[in-house]
Amino acid sequence: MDDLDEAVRRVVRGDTDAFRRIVDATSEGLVRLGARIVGSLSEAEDVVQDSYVKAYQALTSGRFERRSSVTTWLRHIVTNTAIDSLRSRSRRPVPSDTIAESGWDGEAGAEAHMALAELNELLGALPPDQRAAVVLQSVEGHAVSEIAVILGCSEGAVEQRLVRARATLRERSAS
Amino acid sequence: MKREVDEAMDERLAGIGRRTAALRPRAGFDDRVMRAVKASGTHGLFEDVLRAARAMVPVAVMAAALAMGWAVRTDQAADMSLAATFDAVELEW
Repeated sequence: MDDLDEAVRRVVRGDTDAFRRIVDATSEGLVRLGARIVGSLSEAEDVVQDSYVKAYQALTSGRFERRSSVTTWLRHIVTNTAIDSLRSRSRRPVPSDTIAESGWDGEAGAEAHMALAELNELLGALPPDQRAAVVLQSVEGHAVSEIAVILGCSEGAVEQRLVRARATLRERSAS
Repeated sequence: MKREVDEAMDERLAGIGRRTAALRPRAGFDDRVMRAVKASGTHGLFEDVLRAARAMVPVAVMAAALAMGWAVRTDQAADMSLAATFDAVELEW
């Protein structure tokens, strides 16, 4: 993490290449998080790329206030961008991944692709903010307090989203 | 019953979490990101100018205060010399 903090300091001082270290260290986890929220690897890559651009602009304009770690801050940006992407889906077609894409190599990739499709089907009826809360808790394994930081809301608001999401999922599984 | 359904759902979601652990960006993704980041920087000329201007604000405030002080002192000196000249003229009479 010290390495990331040092990279952040260098980016703030105007060293764009130092941002590469942040991308290399965090892109895998962020794309995984994005894919679990939006349900598509290709859409997740777009979401994460947009998020990195936002993060870079925030760093260079002095808008990163260091209230949380760099990783948590990036997860916050990716989650919000993914929620926005889900909200805008009504205005554009939903992208679909194919196993032939290079990111789905091997048996583990094919299994991940199937699991992502299953997750998409399971959480498809939830509003984007509830879907993100469920993914962060039940798939990513975060505590409510961590989810509150990532979503930028109170712990009470997170609990409320999770209760509503569970009620919807229960109804769907009963029908 | 409600609790059992929730537990089953949590179990299923945790399983999906394990199965999607192999997810990773496609080859070349980090390069793509860096290209986008650098391109975003070239469009930020206005932001660069704004940032430089913002950094100059304290210097400008200090310069303005010094200029104001100098103007007041100069004005006082001018008043005094004018008054002295006026007195001198009066004495000549």
